[in-house]
Amino acid sequence: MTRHRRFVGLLAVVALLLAACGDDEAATTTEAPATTQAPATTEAPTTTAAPTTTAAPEPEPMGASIVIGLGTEPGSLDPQAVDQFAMFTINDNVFHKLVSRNAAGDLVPGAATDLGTPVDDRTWQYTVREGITFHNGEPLNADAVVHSVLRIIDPDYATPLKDNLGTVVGAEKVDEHTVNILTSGPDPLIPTRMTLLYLVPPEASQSEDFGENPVGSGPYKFVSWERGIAVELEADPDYPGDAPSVSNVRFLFIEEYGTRLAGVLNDEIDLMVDLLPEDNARVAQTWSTPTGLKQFIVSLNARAGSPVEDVRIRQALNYAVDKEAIAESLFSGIGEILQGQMLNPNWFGFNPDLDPYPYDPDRARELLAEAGASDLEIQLVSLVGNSLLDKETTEVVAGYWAEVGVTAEIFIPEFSEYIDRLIDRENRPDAIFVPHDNILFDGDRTLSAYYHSQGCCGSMDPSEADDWIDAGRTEIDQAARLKLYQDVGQAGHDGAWYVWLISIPNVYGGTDRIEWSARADGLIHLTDIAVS
Amino acid sequence: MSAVSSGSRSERRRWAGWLMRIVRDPTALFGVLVLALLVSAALFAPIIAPLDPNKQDLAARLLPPFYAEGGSSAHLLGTDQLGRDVLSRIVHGARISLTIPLVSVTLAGIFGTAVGLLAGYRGGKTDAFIMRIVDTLFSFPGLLLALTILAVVGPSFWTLAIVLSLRIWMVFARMTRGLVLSAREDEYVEAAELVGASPVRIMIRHIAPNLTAPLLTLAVLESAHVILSEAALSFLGLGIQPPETSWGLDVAIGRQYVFSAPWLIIFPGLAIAVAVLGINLLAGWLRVAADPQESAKRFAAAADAPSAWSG
Repeated sequence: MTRHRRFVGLLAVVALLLAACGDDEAATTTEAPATTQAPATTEAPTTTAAPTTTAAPEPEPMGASIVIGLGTEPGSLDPQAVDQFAMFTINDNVFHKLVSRNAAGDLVPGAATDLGTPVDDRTWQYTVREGITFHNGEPLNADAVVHSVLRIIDPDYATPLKDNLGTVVGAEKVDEHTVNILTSGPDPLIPTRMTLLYLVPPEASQSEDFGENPVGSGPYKFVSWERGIAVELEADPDYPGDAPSVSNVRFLFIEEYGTRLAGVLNDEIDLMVDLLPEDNARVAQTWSTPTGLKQFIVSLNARAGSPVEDVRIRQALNYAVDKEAIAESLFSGIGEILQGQMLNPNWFGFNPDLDPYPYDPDRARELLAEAGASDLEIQLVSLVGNSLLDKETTEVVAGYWAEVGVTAEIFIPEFSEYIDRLIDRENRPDAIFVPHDNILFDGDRTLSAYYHSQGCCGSMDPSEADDWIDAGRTEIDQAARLKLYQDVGQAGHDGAWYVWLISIPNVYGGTDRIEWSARADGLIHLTDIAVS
Repeated sequence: MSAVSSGSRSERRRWAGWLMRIVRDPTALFGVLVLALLVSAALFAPIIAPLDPNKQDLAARLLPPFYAEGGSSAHLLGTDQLGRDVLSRIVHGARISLTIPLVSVTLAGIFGTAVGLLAGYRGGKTDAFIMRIVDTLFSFPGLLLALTILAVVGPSFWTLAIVLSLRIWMVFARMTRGLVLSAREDEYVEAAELVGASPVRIMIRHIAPNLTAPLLTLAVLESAHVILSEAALSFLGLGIQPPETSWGLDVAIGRQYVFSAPWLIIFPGLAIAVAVLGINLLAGWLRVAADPQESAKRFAAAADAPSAWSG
């Protein structure tokens, strides 16, 4: 024990030193805006002595600075360009959407006055609130909405976020503040889809470097981006309403978990994402989203010609894994077992009649023997550092498979190559671990991507499930749509297209300097944070 | 070297003499014992290791070592994040962590010595040409070169061993060349040349045996470097790949848990440190013992010491 204690002692000394440096830095950064602000807010500096005397006693007119530690850096800050959660986390503070979600996850009006009105089968009408302007002075009006819609669905622009808009084919201006969203058919999901359409300024967004210098209309505006290090935002002083408690924020990108945690322990980082359950007791505060947001699954190649094409093998791979142990031990109880489907119980399309494949290694061995695959060898592609314990979960799955005689060679490529393997429609991996999130909270997104043989990541031969998913897209009757999705879930379960593992919430750790509560959608709204 | 195998009395006496010299030198003895321990751990890993190093047990994950609260004798050095036994992983890790240096140094030693012999014996343009290549390769940052090759070719045991030998063969070439240059001037080489021995015969029969001791010392010393390089590469994710284990890999995996489970990096790190220390102690002793002049100095110093006290 003494060796450990000495080690911890050494760390504590280092921590203290770092904390001392950190405080200095924080002090200088908070002071800087205060002094530059002083001449502007205090009246005309008629005498040179006036600003210096008024600046000194001014009690921080700007509010506090905080630092948020993220694990990954977005490839771009263009809110329409990349499908990365880190991008959403930052930009949800910078940009408006027609429809937003409140902290509980319910739809609420955003830049629009309401959730939208269906005018006919192919049109939803929105009225934009008056008086919103982008940080560069452009007005957020019907033109800006039309521009934003046309930009994101432009095939030449080729953004992965286009899929979230599903049926949207265009937009037209009705008057200065009224706009029609046009769809290819009846689409009940338009209000939900609008939560994924960030509104961009027509002029500024045409610039080549919009991804490096985003201009939004939200409560915070973009300040700077040091590649590989941090993005800095500041509260927009002209934004209507009370000034938020946080005036300045730095999103630090720290891939290394230990470094991120050390930052929180040393008070250098106020809020970090993806805290390991083991470290709950080490940080001053922890938060977690009320429900699971990330679904951990292993996609199996069900297409003809694959080494796991036999459904019995895929069922065996499901029976072989103890999901209970993964949820309870590896994730210390924060994980919930997926119910034999990729959909979470609180997403539209969840099928309550499905059950997880129970842990039954003997049954798995039987099925493998029946299928003549007792010495199966497959490749298992995975990733590291993207989600909590992603690599460890993959190793655990491979370990369980090994116990029933299946050898899985784990291959962890660079992240970009991992994505290429995931979406490679021609050469599907035998098995690939996927941490899936669905910010639409509707089965449409998950099923079109993973249960449709033509989806980005589906590994099955075409079946009638494809037709059900297509039909669901334009089914306005919610009960009928639910039935379609539940049938798709059943087909996937019977075909054992995936090994469904667990669903985990987003977990955060932080110092006691901030007051905050986690949102249902896992985003971090800076306006919700109070600094003491 | 084939003469060593003959069981003549003088040979046996020579070996006994070496053994006695090791036993009398406590640092060398320590180095040898540590290495013997690690090598036997590697050789008999399946017998020594209490458990299968890849056997997961999620219910018993992150258990502390036996001396800490909550630790038990079932897992002497605790368990890792997947419930695998740390001691068993270190014992099995010794296999890779010690085989890689053996293979790399053997490859580098054979190639480097051959090149050095050629350069030193032929001299002239051959020498200049070879040694400039060696100088060029020396100026490359070794680890960067290794990382680049591994990133392109993909990591495996053999690529790792070869890449690491690419980093060190120049040391052998340089040293051999220097030794050959001085040996060439010796009378016995001249004598061999005069009786008409072929250059190959002179290099192999007459010069090479005289290089054995210094090159052996170098080889031992370089093994320590290779252990550290393998650990570094595995730590960076381009070395040994799971499910195989090595100490460097274990440190890499454990670093995430540095706060909650420090034993995951302490023990594999300790294994690396102890192995490198043992090798260095042995190499230091070997350098002295194999050099007659150094040995004589030591002997004189030892002989002087008591007289100084008495005087």
